[in-house]
Amino acid sequence: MPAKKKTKKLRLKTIKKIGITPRPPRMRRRAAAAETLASGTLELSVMKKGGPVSTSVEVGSSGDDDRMFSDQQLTSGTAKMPLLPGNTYTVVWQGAFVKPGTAVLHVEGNTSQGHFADDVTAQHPPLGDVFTLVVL
Amino acid sequence: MRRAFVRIAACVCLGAGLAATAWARDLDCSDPDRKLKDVLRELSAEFSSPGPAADPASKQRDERLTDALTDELASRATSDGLAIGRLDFLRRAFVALDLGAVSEDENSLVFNFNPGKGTEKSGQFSPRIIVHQAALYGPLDDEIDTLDETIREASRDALDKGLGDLDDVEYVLRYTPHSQLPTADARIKDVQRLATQYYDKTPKEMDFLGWLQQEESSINDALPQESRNPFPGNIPMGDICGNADAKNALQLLVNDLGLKIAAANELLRKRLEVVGFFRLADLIDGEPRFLFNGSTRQRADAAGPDETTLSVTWQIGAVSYRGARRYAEKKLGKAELDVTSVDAYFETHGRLADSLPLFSFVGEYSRVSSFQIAIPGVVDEFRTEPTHKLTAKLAAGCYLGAGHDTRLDLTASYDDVKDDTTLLDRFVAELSWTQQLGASFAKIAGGPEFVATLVYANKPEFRGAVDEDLGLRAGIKWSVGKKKDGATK
Repeated sequence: MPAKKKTKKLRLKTIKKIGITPRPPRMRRRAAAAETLASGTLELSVMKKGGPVSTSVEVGSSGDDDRMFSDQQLTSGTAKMPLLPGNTYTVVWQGAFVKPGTAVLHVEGNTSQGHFADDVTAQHPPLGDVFTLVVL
Repeated sequence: MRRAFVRIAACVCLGAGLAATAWARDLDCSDPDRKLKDVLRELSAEFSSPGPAADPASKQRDERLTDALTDELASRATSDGLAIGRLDFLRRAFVALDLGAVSEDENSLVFNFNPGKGTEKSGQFSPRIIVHQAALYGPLDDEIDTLDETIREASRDALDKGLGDLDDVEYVLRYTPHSQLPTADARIKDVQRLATQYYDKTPKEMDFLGWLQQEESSINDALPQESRNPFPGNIPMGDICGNADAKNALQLLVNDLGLKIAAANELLRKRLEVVGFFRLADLIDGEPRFLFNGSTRQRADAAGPDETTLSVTWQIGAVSYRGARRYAEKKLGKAELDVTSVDAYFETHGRLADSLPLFSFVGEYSRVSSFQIAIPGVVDEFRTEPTHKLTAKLAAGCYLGAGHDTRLDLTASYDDVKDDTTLLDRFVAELSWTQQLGASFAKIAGGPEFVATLVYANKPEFRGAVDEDLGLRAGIKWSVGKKKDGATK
């Protein structure tokens, strides 16, 4: 038993030394619960050409797991969110163009009813300098 | 006149071919495999595009203005009973096919075509067609003034009546090349980074999402369990159209979608304007650049000779990306631009609306064809010979003081005219002082600016109308409230 205690203390020390702040236990539990409950995932990413153009995606849920993805999140990799069973989801893509250009939103989902993937294109013109597109 | 109609109609048809997909709209249930998301994407794209469906109020306003101009133009075209129908047809076809925007001023109707697709790499082409209100050619009018009083009015009326609504049409193509230098790509990338910073700090919560979520859930709930989907957008239209409740719920959604999207776009636009997102375009446009312009003005009958003009412009803006970088480095000690430094830069380099670029130089070549027409009641034909002209124009402007309420603008132009003794070589220079008026004074004056312009010409006849003579070759004109172009005392 004493040996076990020593090991735990050493681990915490190591974590502090390399500068990683552990997540609060409550948040960790909630994220773990969502992942456990998840009946699927939604993945989003944006590619741009011309512009500048900036966009964001809002995911509306019939539950309380609405999400908003910023331009930074959408363009620096793939943004992901878990889907909870029993909820229905709506995806809206908004954006604005500083100059003419094109943005392509890649949306991919895994649900209990299967996998889907889509590319949605926003081009200005013909779209105006501000747009709101219903994606799903 | 028929020639002009055929040309414009050809342009409209060509554009229609390119825009046909945007115009197509399918709301029926003929394709049961089509997904709800496809219908909603198509509709929301349509409602996010400028045009008749996007803003019903502005459509009505534009139609009223265009109708008024069409009537005015048609009233001159007494020789052709189909005139109003043709111009009106072209205008309506242009708007309906979403080929671009139609704008108008006192004397012209302008068809601005949407820039072509796939031109991002090489640059941007901006085609447009301007239908001028046809009027008697100036020198011809002057010639008629010299006629005997007994035939003067009759001759003028006869020529005037012969003018149709498409007798003075100008075709313009502007090309703005993109810089091919590697620094241009780096610049756009950096402005993109700034755009992301501005955009992400803008609030975006929208009622639209909650409303849409409820509407889609209603469609989902109306369907039997086996047809439901965690993403109602993935439900096939066949399932929705086969269920009366789901179909009704979709109809309700579609009925309100246009207004909801217009409201969401307007809200986002206002929020982005407040944070300064769109003025990033000034940083790009203000960089040194070339513009190429070509136009041909086709006139018929008494409207005058045809004209062709080619010009190249080099300009640099009052604010620019390089200027912002320099400001951030020297004044704020920042190696990289960010939202704070760009805001500070615009605050200290604000500009008067619609003011000239900081500096521009234009070189232009124009050619006017020969012209001949018989004047009723006169034996000899009226005739003018073809002319060529080379023009150099220079414009520069600067602010006075730190408040940026006062601006000085200098414009100078020199025409080297060949083959036309009436024009000779002319030099005209204008120095304008523009003072931004305070809110209360602007209200009394009827506008935000006071403009005083000193005009000098190398020959008195080139000086134009002034409010006060300073000499035969110089004068001063001013305006309070209105802009320089519409100068009034």
